[in-house]
Amino acid sequence: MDIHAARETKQQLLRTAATARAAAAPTGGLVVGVRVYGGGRYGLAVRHDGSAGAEVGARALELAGEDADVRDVGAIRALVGEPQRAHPQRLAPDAPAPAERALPGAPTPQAPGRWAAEVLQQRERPLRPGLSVAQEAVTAGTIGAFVVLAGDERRYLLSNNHVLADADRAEPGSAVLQPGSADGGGAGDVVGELAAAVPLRPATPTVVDAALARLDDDVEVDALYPVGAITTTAAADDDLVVEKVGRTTGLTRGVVTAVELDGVAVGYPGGVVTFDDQVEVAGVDGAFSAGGDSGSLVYDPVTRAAVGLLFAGSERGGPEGTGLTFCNPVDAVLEALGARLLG
Amino acid sequence: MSQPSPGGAPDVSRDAARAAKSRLASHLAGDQRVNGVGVVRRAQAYVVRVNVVADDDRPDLPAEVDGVPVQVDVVGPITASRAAR
Repeated sequence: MDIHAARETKQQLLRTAATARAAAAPTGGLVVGVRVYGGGRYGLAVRHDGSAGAEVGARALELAGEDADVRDVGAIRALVGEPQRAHPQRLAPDAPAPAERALPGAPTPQAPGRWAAEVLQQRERPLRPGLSVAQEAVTAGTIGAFVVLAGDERRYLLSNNHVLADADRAEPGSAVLQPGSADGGGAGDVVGELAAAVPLRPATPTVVDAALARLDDDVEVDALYPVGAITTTAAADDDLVVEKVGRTTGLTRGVVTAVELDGVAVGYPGGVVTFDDQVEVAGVDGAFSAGGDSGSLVYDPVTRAAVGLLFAGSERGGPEGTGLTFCNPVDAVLEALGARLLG
Repeated sequence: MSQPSPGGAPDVSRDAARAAKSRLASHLAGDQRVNGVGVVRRAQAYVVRVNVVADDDRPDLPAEVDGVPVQVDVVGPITASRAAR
């Protein structure tokens, strides 16, 4: 079944199995979600603990047939409901399980709370993906990645032009802060300086909103993401399940809902800029991003390949009407800056 | 551009959808009611997606372009995602 049918079937299952869910809830013995099989195929995922939730599993098989993935996985709560996560509801009970990372038995790469929005908005050293960052005149965006340039041993921080270069208004060499000023960053929080920005061109369609900050030599970096190191890239494809970690909404999961979007008109403080060849992402359960997540790297959690650089969002649209997120294709970003991802 | 095919949309390849997208995007270029024309997969076929700003002020759009179905989504304004002041 497709994603829409899977969501409808999931809701049908939840309605008809409300009593069983309530009985299983106190022990955390039941998780129901959308199963992502890849290639545009979706279904139901039911994870239960022995008899707790088994009835729901049987009902899922009735509703979805071979598209139902029902497993007795033992106790669930400790592995999917970390209390300090920024949005536990997005990556726990209702989330699809494409990477199987949320399932019992799978390793959790980082300690709980590491990717929580309230942590990412603080001053953090070493620097890592997802943290609040901004040029000194800008409110706050997100550290997308750390990169190196050919023939240059220094390390650079990747984010959007409108985060690190104030949408073409900042001078090269101006200070870049972690956290950004909206999160209390000031003169004591300088981590580097604006080094390069791909110009935003209001008059003609462009493809990327990207810039680099050269890091000061004494700034330590931890380049790992929730899934580990990300050093490869791939083109986004329809229905690809993706994740990002950002300053405002923390770790979230979404699905690529459109590719090669041309004529994406984006409002900036200085006017509208139109982008071509963009990637559109919808949140799996709620919005994928919000203001302040600009610059986040969007990646495939299964292959650990980067696919996009998050830069804009809409107020509405998407399967659940919670808005859409727009990303530059990551290969175009890296090519425009002559950069490669630092492992 | 054409009217919908009788009997529903046939399977459409990605290349066919790309060509239709380019044609429709050129036709809609500069229309401020539109903020994106792209390619979307629906089951086993591709369609052209047109994102519009408002439901009550959208351009006249064909149901199909060269046999490729056209899907419309109302997304509102798109803004750069840095933190608000």
